[in-house]
Amino acid sequence: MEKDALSEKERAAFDRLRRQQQPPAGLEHTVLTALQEEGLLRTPPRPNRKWLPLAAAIAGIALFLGGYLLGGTQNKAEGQIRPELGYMLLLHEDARFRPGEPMEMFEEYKAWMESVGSQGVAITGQELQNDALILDADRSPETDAAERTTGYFLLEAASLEQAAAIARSIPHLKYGGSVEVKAFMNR
Amino acid sequence: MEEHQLISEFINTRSEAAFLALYRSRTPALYQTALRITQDAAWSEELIQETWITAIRGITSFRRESRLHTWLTGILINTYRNTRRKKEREAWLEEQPSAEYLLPYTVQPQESPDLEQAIAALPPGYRQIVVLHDIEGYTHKEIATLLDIAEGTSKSQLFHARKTLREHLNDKTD
Repeated sequence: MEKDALSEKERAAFDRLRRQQQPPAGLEHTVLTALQEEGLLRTPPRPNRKWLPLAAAIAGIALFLGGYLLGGTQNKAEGQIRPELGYMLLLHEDARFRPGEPMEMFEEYKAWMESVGSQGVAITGQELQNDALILDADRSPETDAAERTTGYFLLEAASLEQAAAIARSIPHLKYGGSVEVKAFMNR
Repeated sequence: MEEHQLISEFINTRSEAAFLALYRSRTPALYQTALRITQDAAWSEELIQETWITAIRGITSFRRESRLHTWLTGILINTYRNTRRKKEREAWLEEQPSAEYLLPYTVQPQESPDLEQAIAALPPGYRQIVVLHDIEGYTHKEIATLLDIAEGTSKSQLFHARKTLREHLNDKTD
């Protein structure tokens, strides 16, 4: 028995202090960057170049008017995103969306995806058709929805902040679209 | 996944995902310790970064018979002591008093505000012992290893630290 042992009340006060305060969200990214700069982590794989044309499919919301997909191979690309680092960027459009020249948009979105990939970020994506069937309502396929989800990107990021920083540079915003950033649920 | 499996996974792959699994399992507790010892959020973040860099550099030398958290805490404490010496030297060169007690206190929410303040007001040496022993639950033997001091020194410092804490708390209630 210690001669100055803590009383029950003192013990309880110390126990309450043991509750953990979460570190700042940006710290994880700072530490990861520092380790990468020191060469202590393996650099994440670059995006597979054969998927880059998919950028055009997503970007070309005006270009691919029929909303068709490229090659039907997108599932394989999605499988390359590691769930623990996975984020989804959902592209939305409403009446405020003002598409530009199709070829200009094509080049712009393609360049954006290549630029993200050149930073070592694994990324893939998919364009979606405008029409959607809502299953929980007695409605026919939506053709005049006020807001449409017209595509998505899947990418790997160290934090929500990093994913959001990437999302802020999407040309989609320039045309009046909006982007929703969501982390994968990992259980 | 078990702690040792996480470490093996990281050593084998050196991947971000494996590192993040280790980082996320241990950093909240390490950050808490850093905050209590330094009483400063920015300094704590620096310590966490340096701790992980040092740990990852030497991860292959980590002896599996000890707990990863104890090993990381040892690195954190050593880094803290080195940076504290540096900060004190800088303060002395600038002919300013050590800013130790003037730094913003950032541990929130405060479940026991008086005790938090009393711990914050302790001299750094005493504070380390109180944080490690009374909050983190390390034994004197473990503290002696972590701080490279004699076990008796740890006990004696804890005795004086608790005495100081009680005096501070009694003054508040008088």
